Amino acid sequence: MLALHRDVLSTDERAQLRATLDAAGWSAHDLADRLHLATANAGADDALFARLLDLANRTTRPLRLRAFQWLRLRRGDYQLLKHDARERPPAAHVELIVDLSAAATGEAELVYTDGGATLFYVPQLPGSVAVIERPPALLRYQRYLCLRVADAEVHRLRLTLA
Amino acid sequence: MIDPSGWDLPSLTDRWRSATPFGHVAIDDLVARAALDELRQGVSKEPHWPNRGEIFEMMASGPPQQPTPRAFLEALGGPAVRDALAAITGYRLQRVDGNSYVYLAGSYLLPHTDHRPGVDRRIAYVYYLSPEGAFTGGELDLYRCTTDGSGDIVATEIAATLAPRPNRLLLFDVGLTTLHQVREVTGGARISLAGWFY
Repeated sequence: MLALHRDVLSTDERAQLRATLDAAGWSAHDLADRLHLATANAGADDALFARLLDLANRTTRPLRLRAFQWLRLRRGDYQLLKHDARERPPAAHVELIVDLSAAATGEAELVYTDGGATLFYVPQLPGSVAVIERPPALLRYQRYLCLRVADAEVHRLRLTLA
Repeated sequence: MIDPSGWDLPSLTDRWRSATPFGHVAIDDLVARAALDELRQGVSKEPHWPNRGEIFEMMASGPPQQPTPRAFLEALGGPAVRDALAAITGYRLQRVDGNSYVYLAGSYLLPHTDHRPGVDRRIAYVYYLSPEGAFTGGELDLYRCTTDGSGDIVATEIAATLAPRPNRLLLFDVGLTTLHQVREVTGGARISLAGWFY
């Protein structure tokens, strides 16, 4: 199941968050058949996380935060199913994808699949929050960012809830 | 169309065996100039469909229908070429398959191995059709993989980059850790025939 909430984070909020992430620094991840992207070294943002948890609770059911990750993707970056299969919690859970980007690229969608058929996409929509029910068999990949994104950057926050 | 009698088998064998990070070799000037022109015309008449998935974006044909690409695959999978490749690689090969591919700007094939359990792919090949200077990008990268005790890949680095020259046949080994990618094409059209020997 997918619920997409638009305009949850304003342009200013997103810009402030990106500045905070840049200040904390980024770690590059490069394992060719799994992923090529960066994660921020920043910690939790308690006020934001509480707000997002409330949104998730209203969309689904009472949940608790289990994990989070700040992500940055540029041209040439990707994340494949193989990485998701190793990284994801094995049990069913809820995932929040929060788009912190400055602008839409028209690319960079997240693709959810059962390993064969594509089931749905999460578009790269700045300010949006996608709430996804993830049963164990639902896998995700982040499409490769090709030259069409030019010098744009995609920033995302991913929350794992259960 | 393909005559391996002129191939320098000892040299090709040595290059395959000494290649890193895994067995690979390039055979240049594979077909005569006139045959290359006919192949280009034949492939240009094949329908190519948008093909987009987890690790790729390009245009792909189905099994070739035009006479010249079909003749190419028949020659590639014929006994003379298979015998020569057996000498080079040590693999006894039964057959070959292949499709044609068009990579336009923004097309790519991300790092992966062609190994599939239960599918006896022994050698992967790419044959480049585009004229010199017809595109930018599209090189083939081969990765050196570090594995842990269980065989999981825990580190990767590009160990060889092979240029996509016209009329060049690239052959490379298929195994659990033979990771390779086609770099994103940044302009023009990279046209190739590619598939596997079984």
